[in-house]
Amino acid sequence: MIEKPEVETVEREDHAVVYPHGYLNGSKGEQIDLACADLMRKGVNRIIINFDYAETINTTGVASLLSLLERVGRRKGVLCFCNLMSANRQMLDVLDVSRAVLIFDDEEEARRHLTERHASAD
Amino acid sequence: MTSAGLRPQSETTRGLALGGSTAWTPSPAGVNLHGQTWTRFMAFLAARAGDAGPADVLLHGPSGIGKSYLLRRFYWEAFDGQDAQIPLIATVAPEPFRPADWSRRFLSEIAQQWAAFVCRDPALAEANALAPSRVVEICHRARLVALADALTEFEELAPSADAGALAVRWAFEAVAHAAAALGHRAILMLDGVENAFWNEGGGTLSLAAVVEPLVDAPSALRRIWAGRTAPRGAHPLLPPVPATGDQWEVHPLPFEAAAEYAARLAREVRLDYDNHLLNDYLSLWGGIPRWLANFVRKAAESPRSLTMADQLLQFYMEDVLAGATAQRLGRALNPPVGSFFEPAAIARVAEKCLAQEGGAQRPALVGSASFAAGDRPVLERLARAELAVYDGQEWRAPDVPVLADFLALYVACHFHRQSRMRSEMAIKRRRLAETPQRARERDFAASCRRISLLMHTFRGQNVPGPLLAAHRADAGVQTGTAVADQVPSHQAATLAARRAAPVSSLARIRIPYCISTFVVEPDRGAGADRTAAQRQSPTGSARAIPAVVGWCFEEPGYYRSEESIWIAYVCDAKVITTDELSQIERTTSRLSRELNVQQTVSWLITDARFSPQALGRLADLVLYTSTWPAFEALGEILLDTSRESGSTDADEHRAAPTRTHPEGDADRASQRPSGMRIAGAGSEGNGASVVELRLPPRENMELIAARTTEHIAETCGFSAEAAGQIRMATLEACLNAIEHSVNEEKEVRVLIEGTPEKISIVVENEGLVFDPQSIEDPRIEEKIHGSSKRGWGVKLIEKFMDRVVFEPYDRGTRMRMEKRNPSPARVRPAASRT
Repeated sequence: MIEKPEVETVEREDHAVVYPHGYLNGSKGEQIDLACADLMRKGVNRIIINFDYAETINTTGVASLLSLLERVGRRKGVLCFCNLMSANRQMLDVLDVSRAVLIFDDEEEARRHLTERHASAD
Repeated sequence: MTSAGLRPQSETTRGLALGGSTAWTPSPAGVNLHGQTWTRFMAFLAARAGDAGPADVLLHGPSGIGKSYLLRRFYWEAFDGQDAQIPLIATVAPEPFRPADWSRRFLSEIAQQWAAFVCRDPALAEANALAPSRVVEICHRARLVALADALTEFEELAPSADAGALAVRWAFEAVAHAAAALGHRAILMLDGVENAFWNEGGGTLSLAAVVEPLVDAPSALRRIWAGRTAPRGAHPLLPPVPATGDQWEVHPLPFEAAAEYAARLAREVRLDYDNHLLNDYLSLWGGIPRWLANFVRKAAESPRSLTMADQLLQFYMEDVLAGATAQRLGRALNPPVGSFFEPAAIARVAEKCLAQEGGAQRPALVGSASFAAGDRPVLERLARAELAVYDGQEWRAPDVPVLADFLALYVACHFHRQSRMRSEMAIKRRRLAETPQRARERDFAASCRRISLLMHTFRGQNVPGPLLAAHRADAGVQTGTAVADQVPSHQAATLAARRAAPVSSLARIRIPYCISTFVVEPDRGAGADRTAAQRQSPTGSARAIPAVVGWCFEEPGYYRSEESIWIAYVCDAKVITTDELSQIERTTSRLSRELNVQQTVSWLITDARFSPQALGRLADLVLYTSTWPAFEALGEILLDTSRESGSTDADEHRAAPTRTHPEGDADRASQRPSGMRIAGAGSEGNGASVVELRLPPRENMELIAARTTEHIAETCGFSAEAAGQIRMATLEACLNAIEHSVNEEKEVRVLIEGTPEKISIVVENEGLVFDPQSIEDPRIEEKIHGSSKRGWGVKLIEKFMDRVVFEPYDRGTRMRMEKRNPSPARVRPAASRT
């Protein structure tokens, strides 16, 4: 019943995708943060977080995501969210978090955005 | 005129049509509301009026006090009396007052009532205002030609303030003419005369234009005014009242009368409530009948009973915030037409009045340093709304709590925008602390904590039997001697023996392993029993007995077959009678049934004496009893034993071993996380799904509550989207509760009640009082770059739920939230007991 912390990372050519699993609370948010910090140390600063396997996000998880957003911003990187479940998406909307981060319906759309909009910026 | 007793039928059903533009206080059948006032008022009128000249009386008092009730009663007494006085009653319309409209209606209503009296037609008197043409027709038939002509002529005039004043004058001239012709004298009652003062800004008709024609009317008229307006000179900022001959003040109901009134009203609307509790809170409404009526009506609309002080207080706060009184006051401060002052200006002046509540800084005369010259009109406005009271020396907040609290919240809302919830909590704390019932509850809560501590701490130990088995003092029962008389000697003997002998030699009863405790509300029985319980006086002996329930296992492992409950009853009655024992039996039986536990142990803790009948009954019951000194001694003994054995409770508590359940006994308990318990689940008679969870405040426990709530919401027919929102809100509420719990030994209690119409969730923690206002409204721009990223929970909950209330209670913080189902659909069968 109580999920083990689990965050998967997949590195692609010019970006990386992070897949948090299960319940995204404060501690799992920190794991995402750590995973992304590793990626950025390797020079990957375009990151997609795919929430397809994240059933529930709480506000401590949101706080961790905001820390991550700040960290990525400081590195002039790009952070995108995708595959958010309806209730989670609603939560980000009502908290105005969706104004601060790019949110896409699916991973393909997020990837396309990174390729088209941010590749030229490089 | 007669002043005989009350008419048998309910006043709520008769006379409502009379000048029905202002609310007036209902009186249930059989209640002699303002009985003494009525008698004295009649005597006063008789003495003043005599048989000759007119009486000119101002009936004044605060809103909702029953002035209109007295007028209407006077009207019906006169109407039935046939003593040659024609009752006429009219109401000055509340804000916004349009003089021309009012005058037209006034003239028409007076004519209608005159015709009704002349024709002796109560139905016509009771009817709503008829069309003027119809009234003209009736007047002609009743040979009231002057009135019919006045009405006809007025209908031909263009509506204007001047026409309004003319109509009033015509009405009285016509009435006087008709009265003289018939040899009668008319009694004119004008209700809500304060509206004539307060609405001058809404029209051009002045008070003089409305009232002076009445004052100057021929002597064939007797006049009784009723209004909130205080007598001349009492309010230096308010316009003076008309120079009436006499004044009569209507006072709030005395406590006993108010209690009786509230009880009758509650019975009429079948409100289930705790008599003692409501009596404690009557002072909050100040013996004002209409507010009591509003409160009872509102409470009756709620599906829950009023059995807890904080529940009652919640209703009170709702009344303060959104009740009929609050709405009227809100309208008075922010009129739809001609708003002269900014809310902040009102709040600024109100705050000064509130600062004087309690009287430390007295006096602050109008015009002195406390109030600037510009404050005077604002102060006047507050005075008109009864929110500022001038006592001849100073302006201050009203003495009536509901008004003072409204004012405090108004200031909080409009002046200190961030502090509304904090203000609500402050008011609740103050009000909760004020009542005797609350003091009793506090004592009970302390008792519960002691019992819970004992159950939790000393599990698995053997205890000296005599301390718990007082009723088995055979000699006492057999000889009929009160057990309570015997217990001290038992204790003395036990304590003496303990000193002389090893503790183990006294041990007889084993305290099981208790994993959680909870408090159950008193069981008053059902149906007729409940009504009987309500009728008990505050000093009655049948006070309901609350209990602490411990969920226990014989051994440290949680085997289903060893499951039992210990129920400790805390009774503060002076004498234990068979009523109390029956109540205990009922509660034990109910809990055993509802919690599906085969083994129960009942334990009555009381210092009371037992009646002879109760002693006889004790012999047939399996019931441990102990006095509070015995209880203390028990704790002392167990503590010593615990020290001797070298084990600490904390170690044992943390151990909470979870063993694999034996095959064949793999019930749901085996699937629960350690320490989590579904305290109760099922369906209530009204179709509601109710689940109570008790969660240890540990990481991720909030998920259990969230998923349960979502499931109930879906079962009740909420849409998937709404159910998701409810889940998220519950998750955040529990997260908060867990975070603010003192330690893991405490519990987070979640009560979920779902119906097709709405879902209500209560989350309680034991620990720090959480003040949502201590967290600033989070803004994404500030959070991204700020040091603290957290603090979103309350905002999320408020966005997703329709109603959210935080309140302190004696052990921590309670949060209530509610979401309505916008489209209640057909409900799936409620989940059966889990």
